[in-house]
Amino acid sequence: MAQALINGILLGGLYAIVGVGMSIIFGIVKLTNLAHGDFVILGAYLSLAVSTATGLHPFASFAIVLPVMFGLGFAIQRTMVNRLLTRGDEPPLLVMFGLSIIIQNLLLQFFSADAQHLRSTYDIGSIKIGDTGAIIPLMFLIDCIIGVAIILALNMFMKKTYVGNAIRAVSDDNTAARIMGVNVPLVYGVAMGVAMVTAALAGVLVGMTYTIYPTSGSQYLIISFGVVVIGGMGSIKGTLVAGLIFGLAQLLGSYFLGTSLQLLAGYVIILVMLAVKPRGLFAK
Amino acid sequence: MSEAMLTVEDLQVNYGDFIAVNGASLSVPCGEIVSVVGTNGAGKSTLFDCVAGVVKPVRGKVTFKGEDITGLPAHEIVAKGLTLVPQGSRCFIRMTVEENLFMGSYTKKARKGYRDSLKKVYELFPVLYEKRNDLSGSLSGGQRQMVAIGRALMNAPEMILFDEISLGLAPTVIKDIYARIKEINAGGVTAVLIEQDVKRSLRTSAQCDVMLKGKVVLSGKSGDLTEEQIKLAYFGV
Amino acid sequence: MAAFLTFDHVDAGYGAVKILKDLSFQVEEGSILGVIGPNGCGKTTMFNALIGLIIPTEGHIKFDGRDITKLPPNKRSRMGLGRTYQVPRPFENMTVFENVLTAAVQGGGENERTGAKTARDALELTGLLPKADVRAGELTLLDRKRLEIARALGTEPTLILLDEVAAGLIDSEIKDIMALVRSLKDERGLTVIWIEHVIETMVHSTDVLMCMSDGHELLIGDPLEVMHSKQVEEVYLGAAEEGEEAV
Repeated sequence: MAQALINGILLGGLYAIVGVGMSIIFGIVKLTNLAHGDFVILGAYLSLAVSTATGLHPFASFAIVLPVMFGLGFAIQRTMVNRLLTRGDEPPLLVMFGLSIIIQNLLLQFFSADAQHLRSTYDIGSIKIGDTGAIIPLMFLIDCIIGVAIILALNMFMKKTYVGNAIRAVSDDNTAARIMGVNVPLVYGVAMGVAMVTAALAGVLVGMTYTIYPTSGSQYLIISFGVVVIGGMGSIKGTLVAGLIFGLAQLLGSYFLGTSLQLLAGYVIILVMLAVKPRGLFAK
Repeated sequence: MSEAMLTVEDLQVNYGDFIAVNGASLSVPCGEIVSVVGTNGAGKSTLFDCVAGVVKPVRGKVTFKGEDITGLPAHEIVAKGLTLVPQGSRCFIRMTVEENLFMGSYTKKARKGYRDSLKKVYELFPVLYEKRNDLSGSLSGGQRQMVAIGRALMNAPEMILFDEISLGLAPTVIKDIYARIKEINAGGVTAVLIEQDVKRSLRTSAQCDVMLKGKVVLSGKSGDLTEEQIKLAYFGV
Repeated sequence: MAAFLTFDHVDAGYGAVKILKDLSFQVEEGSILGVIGPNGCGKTTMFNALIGLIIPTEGHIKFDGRDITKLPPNKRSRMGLGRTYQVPRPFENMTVFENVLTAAVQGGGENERTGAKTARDALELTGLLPKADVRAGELTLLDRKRLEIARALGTEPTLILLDEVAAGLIDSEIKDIMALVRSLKDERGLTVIWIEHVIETMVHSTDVLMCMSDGHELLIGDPLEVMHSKQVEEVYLGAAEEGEEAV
């Protein structure tokens, strides 16, 4: 029980960073990014490729992976999504769905369907807590610390910088933001770039913690959905609390109901949230 | 009259095949307050949305400080020193008062003067300083208008277009806001008041333009226009 | 002669917000009543109370000798109350004829055969017969406005409510619409209530003009006299407040 609690709480930090990018795009571009889970996995595979080619530690690979992912997100938004936004909700949705399929197949092509893992020395480490028998797995702890740190940093970015405020302003009132001098298509591009960076950070952590497959994206898309639904669209702080709730629900579900029902527990929480508070805990 | 800061020539703006502005022309002299009046649906708001770059014209020309700005996107026009206070204030309601003002200084030129501009805005509207950490969505209608005006001032503009700022406000609040606009104008900012309340705008402005069915049908010094002239132009009968 | 439609001291609004305040007026059968007033004066709310979207909290509405104050919208429609929408919203993928036929069958409760005749008559009166087989989505704004009127006619009304049918049209097109509204009265003997912002249009094509202000009838009478009254001027242009210069 204590172990399930510890793991659930630590997992919350990871889930928050997995979902935050989707939340940003939901809140600002008003787009359901069906490729978000695949972006997460793409980040992990990019890191794998960099590590394999250069021998760099997965964390060191950020120096290459993050700029590439930002550029990719910016380009996807500017070249594909922006020009479709005026044509209703479906076309951009389909574009993201298409991207999801393309990414999965490209990963299959280049990395095969085999399981992959980003190797580090943290996997095996753990910290014992007194004589309770419970342990803190080192990798989970790292996930949680990095996840929380990034969420907090992102929150500062949104509150203290012109670009971050512009992103919030556009989500509040697009036209008013334009007459304040905000180039809205550009800001959409930056927002997607930032979302991609968070996806890549999440992906590397996921790859270091678990094994990944080219098709793992859908699993993380569902986690993202859960985080967005529970936390409220576009609320960065909400994703943190939502990640925690979702992580605890899964691990406690697994503890009480058995591992096979772990995912079910998460979905039940999503359903309950949709029924009780459809706009999320932190919707403004 | 002094040289024109803004001229609009033969402007047409459509929404689909709905013609909202149909060949409107007007001129705003430097340093003055000009009021533009007309009934609902006369095309006033659309005309100035177009001037500010929010909507694109079908034909016609907009010149600001001698430069052709026709059809430029809104964010480029505001960077040239022309700011719109949109109808219904349109504050960023999920952001605080101070964050709204921060957004007002978004253009490159305005960012340098952020501290000074912020001080000026708080001097002009002390209530905004008191409420600086409140969400603008929690403010009263009059206070939101003050946020919208303050936000426009943060850009240190040379010209502000005020779109029906008195709509839905109590007379005492309107009086107060109009007094502030006169102060802003005295500080060297050219102003356009888009209004339905003709008498009030006549008292405040040096020049008055009347719009009817998408055109400017009457223009003159506010003091020279007779009530009969204005009425005929306003109603078309 | 008893009035065809009567608003008798009607109060109405949305929740706690009272918009109509003691509104009273009458419309004679076969006449055109124009309704004007500045933004927020309650024109649209009056309209909604008349078609049954909101129920008055006080007062009565009588139509064709019957108290319809609390009657649901579809029953009012069957009684002969027809309306147009401010923003035309035809079924864009159906032809002009199909649009009017749908109105006749759905709204007017006719079968396909009698409905077809009603639809053809409506298209003839509105001048849309040559375009009967054109897709509604391809019509110009003027023709979409005509189609709005034709669809309202499809329900075979005796009283028709027109909501800003001239908005967005250029002068020559407005003349066409004015003539069409006139023919509703002259050729069909319909009673018309017409809301419009283009005041010039209203003065020249209505029999009686009502100016509303703050949810109340300010003045009802001959259109030109109403427009040239001091009250109406003040409602639109604002009252001269002395001493305001001192701010």
